[in-house]
This record gives sequence, C-alpha cells and structure tokens, in this order.
Amino acid sequence: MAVLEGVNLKKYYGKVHALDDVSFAIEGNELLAVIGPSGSGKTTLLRSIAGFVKLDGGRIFLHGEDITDLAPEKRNVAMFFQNYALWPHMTVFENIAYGLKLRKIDKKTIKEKVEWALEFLGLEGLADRKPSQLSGGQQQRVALARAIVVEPKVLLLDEPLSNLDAKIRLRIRFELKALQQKLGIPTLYVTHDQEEALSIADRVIVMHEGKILQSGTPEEIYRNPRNLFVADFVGMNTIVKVPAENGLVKVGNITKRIENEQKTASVVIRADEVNIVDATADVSTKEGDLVLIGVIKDRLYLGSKYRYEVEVEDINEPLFVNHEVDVAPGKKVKMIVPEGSYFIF
Amino acid sequence: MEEKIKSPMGFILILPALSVLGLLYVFPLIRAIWSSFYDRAGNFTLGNYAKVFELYTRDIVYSVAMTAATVGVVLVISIAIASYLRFRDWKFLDYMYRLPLFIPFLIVGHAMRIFLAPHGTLNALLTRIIGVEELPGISGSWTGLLFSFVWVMTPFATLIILGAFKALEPAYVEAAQNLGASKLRIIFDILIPLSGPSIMVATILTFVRTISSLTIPLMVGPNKPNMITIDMMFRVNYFNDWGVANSLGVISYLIVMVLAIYYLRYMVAERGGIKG
Ligand SMILES: Nc1ncnc2c1ncn2[C@@H]1O[C@H](COP(=O)(O)OP(=O)(O)O)[C@@H](O)[C@H]1O
Ligand SMILES: [Mg+2]
Repeated sequence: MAVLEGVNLKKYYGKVHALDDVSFAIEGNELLAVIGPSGSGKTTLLRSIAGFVKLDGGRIFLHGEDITDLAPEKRNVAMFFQNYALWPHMTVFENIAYGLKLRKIDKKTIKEKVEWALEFLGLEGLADRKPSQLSGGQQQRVALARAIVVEPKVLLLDEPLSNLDAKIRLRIRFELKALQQKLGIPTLYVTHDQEEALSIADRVIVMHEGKILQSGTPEEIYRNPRNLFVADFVGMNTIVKVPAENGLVKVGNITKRIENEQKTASVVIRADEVNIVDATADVSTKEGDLVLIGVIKDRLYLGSKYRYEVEVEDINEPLFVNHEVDVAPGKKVKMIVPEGSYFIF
Repeated sequence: MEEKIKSPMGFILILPALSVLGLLYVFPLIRAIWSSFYDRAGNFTLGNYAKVFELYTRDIVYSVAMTAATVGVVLVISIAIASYLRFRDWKFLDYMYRLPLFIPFLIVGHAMRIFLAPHGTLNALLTRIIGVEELPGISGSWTGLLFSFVWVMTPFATLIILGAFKALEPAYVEAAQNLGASKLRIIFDILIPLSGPSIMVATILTFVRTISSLTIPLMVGPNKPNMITIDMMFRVNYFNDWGVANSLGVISYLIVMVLAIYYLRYMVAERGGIKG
C-alpha cells in the first residue's frame, strides 16, 4: 500500500486550474520530487495534502486512510514552509518542542527529543537563541528539526533550499538527502529547480499548469522525456525549430516520424552532451547519433568549458552548445549528438 | 540634526502643527496643573489635593477599578471576536461588532437606561429565559455601568486586535496547525503573543477613553460612588471650584501616565527582542 496517495486531485481558482486531475503515490521511504515552473501548482498540491487547501475534487489517502476531509491539525504530515515560518517570539528550543508539547509528552522526553534533533542537525548551542539571531542556513535547519521531531508520517518540503545562497544550497542538498534516508521518512519535495530534484530524488513528477506531464526516476525523466515541455524543462538545452512534412522531420542525418500533423517540429539538444570535432575529421558514429555540420559564429569562455554559437546547415536558428575544446570562430565543425541527448517532438 | 539648524524652512513647515499642539494640548495641561496648586485667592496651596483625598479617595479607587474591569472584559470579548473572525468569515459579526462605533455616547447612554431598567429589555429577556420575575434593574448600578462601558469600548479594541491578527504572516498560524495545534491553542500560543504591541495599544486606548468618559457614567452610573469625571463636573458646576477639579484631573492624568510609561518600556523591550 502506498504511504501517501492522491487520486484525481482538482483545485480551481476561478479559471486557473491549479490542480487538474493530479494523481500520484509515494511508496516506501522514497523521496518524491515535484518539479515544474512557477505557477504550475506545486505549492497547491503540497498545501492540499497538509489540509490548507480545500480540494474541488479527488481524495487523499495516508496509509490507506482517507484524510481528504480531515482538519490540518489532525493529519500528522509535517510541512516545511518556504519562508521557514519559525515563531519569532519563541526560542529555537521552544520552536522545536512545540509539536511535542501539543502531543502531551512529558518534559523530560521532550528535552531528550529536542536535544537529539539539535544534535542531528548540527544546531548544538543554539537552543536559547531567537530565530532572528540565526543565519538563514540555521533557520532552515531549525524549521527542519521542528518538522521531523514529531515523527510525522510524511514530510512535505516546499522549496526548502530556495532561500539559501547558491553555494550553501549545493551542499545542503546532499545533507538533506542523507538526512531523509537516515530518518526513513517518506518525503514529498517541491522545487522549481530541476537539477536539484534530479540529483536527490528517487522519483520525479513534472508538473505544468496543474497537470502531471510525466513521472519516473530521474534517469527516465532526463533520458526519455515524453514531450517537448519535459525535455526542455530538465537539463541545459538548446532548442531549434525545423520544418516537418507529412509527419516526417529531417534533421542532419536523422529522419524521424512524428505523430502530429504539425508544420514544424522542435529539436531539443542537451547542450553539454555535444561532441564538436573538425568538419573533415573521420569519427565513428553510432546508429541513432545525430550529426550536424555547422560553422562556429561566436564563443564565450565559461571557465571549465566554452559556450559556442553555431550556425548549422539547413537550420535557420543558431545552436548554443558547450564543449571543453577550444575552437576558433569561423571554423567549420561537425557536431555529434549521441542518441538520448537529443529529442524531436 | 545639523540639517535642521541650517534650514529653518523645515521648522517653519512644522510650526503650524506645533502651535496647534501647544495651544490645544500643552498649554491647557500646564494651566490645569498650575491651577491645581492655587486656591481661589491665588495663593499657592496643597489644599486642593488634601480635599481630593479627603472627599474622593473612594471615587478614585472606584474609577480605576471600574476602568480596569472594563479593560479586562473588553479585551476578553475583543480577542474572542477577533479570533473568530481571523479563522472564519462571518460577515454579520464583522459588521455587527463595529456598529457601536457609529452611535453617539449620549444615545448609547439613553438606550442603556431603557435596556437595563427594572422593566427594561434585558430583564424582560431574562424573565423569559430563566423565568424569574421582578429582577432588579442594573441601570444605576456598577454592573450597568460596566455593561455600558464594555458595549461602547469593545468595537474599537476589536478593530485594532483583528487588524493585528489579520496582518500576521499566515504561515505562523499554519505551521502551528500543521504540528497539531487546535484553534484555541493557536489563539493563546501564536496570535496573542505575536500581537502584543497591538493588544497593548487597545488596552491603553480603552483605559484612557473609559476613565475620561463623562456621558455614560452620568446617564447609567450609580449616584455613589462616582467616576472622577463626574466629580470634576460637580466641583465646577456646583461649587465653581476649579482648583479641586484640576487636582482631580491631574490625578487621572497621573494614572494614565503610569500606563503610558509601562507601554513605552514594553515597546523598547519588544524592539530589542523581536525584530521590527
Ligand atoms: N489562494 C489562491 N488564490 C488564487 N489563485 C491561486 C491561489 N493559490 C494559487 N493560485 C494560483 O494557482 C496556480 C498554482 O499556484 P501554486 O500552487 O502556488 O504554484 P507553484 O507552487 O508551482 O508556483 C497559480 O496560477 C496561482 O496563481
Ligand atoms: Mg510554490
């Protein structure tokens, strides 16, 4: 049985379909990430599970029990708020202990549990501080401690890292994953940062305009996107439009049949996975690799690599690809894009 | 600071406001304090204050107690209304609690006399509900006065406190709810502590407005003991005794000052603890 299951969830704000028939399930102790651009309905999904959004349709089950109409305070799903929502009039200790106090646990046990949480999250010595006396990273960990100390059935994280500096964010990402595994709490992790989600999630759901477009392991989402939106949303990409005729698209050496009756097709290329060689070089390619010939128009130095603007034969738009080899502008090159690194829709 | 000296323009611009303040507030206040120390013949004396303590100690205690009781009941009711309206949208209550704001004190006083009289509306209602006949009227008693004060003062306090409750970051409330807090717990653990400054303002405004109110105690209050304001009026109307009236005024001013000082100290502490 799934730990947490949402079935045909619907939520409308006037004409906006914040949740449009969303179904999902969390199994075992997995970390399920929900990604999508701003406004795609991620927060609404999380808040409806916590009970703060009244659904217009669908049911939510927690360990098989229907919690759809349960008051938020009776659900035992711990929510982590994007702005932390630490109570400013309480100390760190009081913030973390609050949920335990509500559960009528004796003082001694509360103290033990809070001290465990403080140590677990590296917050020793901060128990008596007020939230305003903490750094952003510390506040984030206090909010996390407050959520996990009550041993919730599910942990709901809404953009937990978005308020941190880019550098800390990268480190905390893995700490968070390690912590989640150590605790074994099933977790729903909402973020607009696809890279963050792909790097720590067991499974990923991609949302757009209130709908789930695809769900699967990070590899499936990245290597096998089902449509243009998903292909474009994950990874670093360059996209060009090419004409389609009678359901056939021709790009470079590749001809692909597409189902729709569309006049143009989009080619999505993972910008970091393109091999650039001299146009005359004789490199062996595999069946299914996309080979494009073009001329380097411009180049940008990025430190570990270069970013090239390439004018490709038979394609009207420039292609932007990254490669570590230094090639001078004006040079004619051959670009080899392996199968699974480009998608045509 | 130096800016101000260099440009007299700023001073000239605030001059009208300063003059109004001085003319309407500071000057009469100093006049009142001054004249409380002089007898009719114009000699310096502490006699006015001696008379006040001889004649009106009981009234002063009564005024403070009545005002404190009013503040207490008003706070309980306005926090209850504000809490309700913070969690539930009930348009009827939202309009009703403000209604007394728009009714002049004189009319309230008159209405209360009718409402609280021995055969008034309240007793008729009580007789119907509990079946006891011939209840005494509470108009002209301290309970009637308390009732009327509360009726008049509650909307203002509610307005302030509800504003604070609604301005609170919703995530504070939701975080508590998420951890299992009932509405009642949230009121006491989150809403009230985080609205401290506003509740303080509501307390002080209610206190000042009650202790300085004349119309209501005049119309609904008992004959004895009296509120300080009524004593002041009698002193002037019947004895033309401005000295004692002013001494009474200075004393009620001092009572309010105690509260003001407490408020300022609270605000300073608040600023130091919780940021802005
Ligand atoms: N309380 C609300 N009232 C009206 N519209 C809302 C409300 N909450 C969310 N929406 C709308 O629902 C859509 C989804 O919002 P949200 O779930 O916050 O997206 P995300 O978290 O993915 O950025 C957006 O178009 C947003 O404007
Ligand atoms: Mg959001």
